[in-house]
Amino acid sequence: MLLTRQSRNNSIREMNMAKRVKAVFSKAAFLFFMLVLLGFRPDYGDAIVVGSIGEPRTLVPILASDSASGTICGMVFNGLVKYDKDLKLVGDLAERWEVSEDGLEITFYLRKGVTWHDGESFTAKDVEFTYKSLIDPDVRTAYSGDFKMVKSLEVIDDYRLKVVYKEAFSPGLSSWGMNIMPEHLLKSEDLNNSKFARSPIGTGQYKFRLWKTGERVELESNHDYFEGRPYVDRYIYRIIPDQATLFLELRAEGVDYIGLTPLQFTRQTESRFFKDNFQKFNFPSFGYTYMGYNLNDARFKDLTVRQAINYAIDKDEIIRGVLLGLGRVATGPFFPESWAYNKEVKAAEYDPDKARLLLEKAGWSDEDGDGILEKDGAKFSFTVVTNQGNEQRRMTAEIIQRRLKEVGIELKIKIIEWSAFVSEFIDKRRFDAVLLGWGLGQDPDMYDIWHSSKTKQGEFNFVGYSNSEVDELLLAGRRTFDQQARARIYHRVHAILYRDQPYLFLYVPDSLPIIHSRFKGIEVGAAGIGHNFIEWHVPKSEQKYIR
Amino acid sequence: MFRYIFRRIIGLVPLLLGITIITFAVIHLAPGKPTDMETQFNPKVSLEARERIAHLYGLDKPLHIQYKDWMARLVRLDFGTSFVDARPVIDKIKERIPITLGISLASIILILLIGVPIGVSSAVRQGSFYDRGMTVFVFVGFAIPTFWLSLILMDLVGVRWGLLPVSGIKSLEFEKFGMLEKIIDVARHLVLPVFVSAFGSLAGISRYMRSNMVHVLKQDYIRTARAKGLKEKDVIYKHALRNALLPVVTILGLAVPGLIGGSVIFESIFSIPGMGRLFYESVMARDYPVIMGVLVIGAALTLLGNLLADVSYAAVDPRIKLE
Repeated sequence: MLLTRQSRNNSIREMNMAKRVKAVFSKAAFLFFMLVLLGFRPDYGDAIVVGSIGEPRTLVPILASDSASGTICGMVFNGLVKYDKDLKLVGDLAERWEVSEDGLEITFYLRKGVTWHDGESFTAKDVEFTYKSLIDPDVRTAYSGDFKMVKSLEVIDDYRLKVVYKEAFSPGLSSWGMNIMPEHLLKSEDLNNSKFARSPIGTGQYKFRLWKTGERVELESNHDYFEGRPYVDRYIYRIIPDQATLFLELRAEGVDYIGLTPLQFTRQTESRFFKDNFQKFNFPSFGYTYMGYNLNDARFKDLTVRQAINYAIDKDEIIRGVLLGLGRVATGPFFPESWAYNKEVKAAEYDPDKARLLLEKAGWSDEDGDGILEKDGAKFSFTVVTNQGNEQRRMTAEIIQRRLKEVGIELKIKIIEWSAFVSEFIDKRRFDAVLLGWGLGQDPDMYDIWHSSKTKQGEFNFVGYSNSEVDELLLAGRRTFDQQARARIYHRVHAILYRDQPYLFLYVPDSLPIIHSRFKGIEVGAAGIGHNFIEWHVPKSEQKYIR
Repeated sequence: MFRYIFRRIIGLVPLLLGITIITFAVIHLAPGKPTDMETQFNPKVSLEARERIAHLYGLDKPLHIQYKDWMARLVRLDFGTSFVDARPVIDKIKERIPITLGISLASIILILLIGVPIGVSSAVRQGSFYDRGMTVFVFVGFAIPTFWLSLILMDLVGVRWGLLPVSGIKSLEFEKFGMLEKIIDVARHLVLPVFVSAFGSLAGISRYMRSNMVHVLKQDYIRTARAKGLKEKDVIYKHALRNALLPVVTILGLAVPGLIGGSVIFESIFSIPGMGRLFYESVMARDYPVIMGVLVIGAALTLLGNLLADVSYAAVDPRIKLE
């Protein structure tokens, strides 16, 4: 968070300076710049060892739905488009694209001269193959949804292709960030049971080398990568299923890069040793935690009650207690650094008196003097359900429990194993409230979470939210390609959702990566680190893993 | 003898069948579906896509049909393929058994090498300071939580003193090592896990050994041996020990399924890719074919282990005849 801001101020300052310098010594400055560029070339070599709790499941990108598989696939493959460090959609395998006036057609112009890791050329045929696999009913992909909107995909020539949509669908553009798979290797394979899942061939910055089940996945740098050869030669993904062991391995320098917990970030990595040998980063993560109400429950149907609860809970207190300050208050479902996020929406101040007042207005009062409010003889007591294995959610629920008690609401907490939680509580709508988190994609489309039609069993509007204006805005957001126009739409959605309080929006936790200090060139962008991974490098004298 | 073994093996078939029916039912009746985990909570994954995946796994069929399909494959010794990564279940189990088996055997040998002498020497010096000290020692091992001891040792030996690797079973550069280096590398990685797993199990074997020995030493034939004027060493190691070892055979027989079962906690902490972790991860992912595969193999081994214990009883104890 701090770093992001700092780097931004710096870049503004640099820009101003550059202008002045340019005005006076424009030529001299340019020459100087070129000299710096020529004089400084980072060293190649070394390996980065990334520690992870989870193991990838499959490296067929369209089948991969867990974060470990996604991480590795992201190194080995490319999409047609990607998000840059400022969360702007830019070309990846596509050089550029054109969207037709009516938004129904997207024409992609592909990068020429890109080769697969086995030497074959990448062409539009590979894109067509990937698309066909995504919509093939026999392929176990979870990502068919966005591609169902495509009417046809037409290969114009090797480096041009046209995608025609049934209706204008702007999130479709970012869905082409899906990793593209090689047709020549997979066209006669059964994707569900292919050897490719454990020996992938991509176009990406790193080439697959080996996978030892339960131990590690190893990649090596792609010298022919179209954006240039990555400086770090090897990428080793070590699987260490225990958080405590992962930290001990970091301490023993057996891993170079892990994600820290808030406790590790603020307390356990402040020693001399960590200051000398590691660099820490923090920036908002792509996700937020919330308490969702069952809006079919009579108590929560009442907007006044939901607003009262929002005043009764001190989110800053939760962030201090649970995240040790490493997070920010969520006011809506959008990523704080995104253009879709409405900065005008201000979080309500913690105000228990106002909460009590609102509850009274809603007809709740403590008639029998036991400290718990009643209405029509029924106590205001409800249960929040959350999943097992997430300490942050458990602690959050406990803080909410205490604050609600102060305004006369009794909260019970139930913790259930994930799979049972989803099938028995979420899917069957058997809950008063749930404490959960959403992980977010970069595109702000949230039709599946907030549209009133998405309330069937297994769909994601499980709280039962329904607002006709939001419904319309969500559809409009899908039809609009212009970013500014879309921003206006989602700013409105953001404001309405905060007013309506279908969720008690709680916090956006920070990502807390720690990386060995021999790695230089790490740049923090709006989306965190990693966007310039190929520029990370280790000076020769500090290299650790030398072949 | 052979007729007995043959009869027992025939008797195992319906038993095994019953076990598979019950476990199959329990696993499928447990809440949650494999598709829950695969798709987590990703708004990009539509309901339709999840239903399609369930269909492709055959999960939309009635339970008894699913069981029939599974059984039809099992009799051809085909355990099916994993829902998680589409690899054959048998491959997933095969690559993990050697690791778990190796560690289990190493720790069993260590347990016997240390536990039996502790038991015998405690029995001989029954009630002495040494006996009590040993009792405390083995029960400390029994009572200390594995994860706690592991983490403390990893921190001390691995991080602070830097003597041994913290976790895993091989170094990152393992493939480039020579033969001798490889052996030393694996051995270095195994010291802590084997020690931790043996320390926790010392109590069982040594207490068993001690009470058997105490019992045997009171027998008439021991008095006879002493009366004959045999050396105390011969009395204990030739006459008493042999008889006291008999029940240990039973324990070893019952330990057979444990040999390949592994332990979740300790495999996770030391990040050892063994059977315990495979089973745990499969349960958490509702990976039915793998869960069933591990359970069937475990059940078969338990039954065989019992049989083995009975048969070896007859072999070591001349009083027992199998009919």
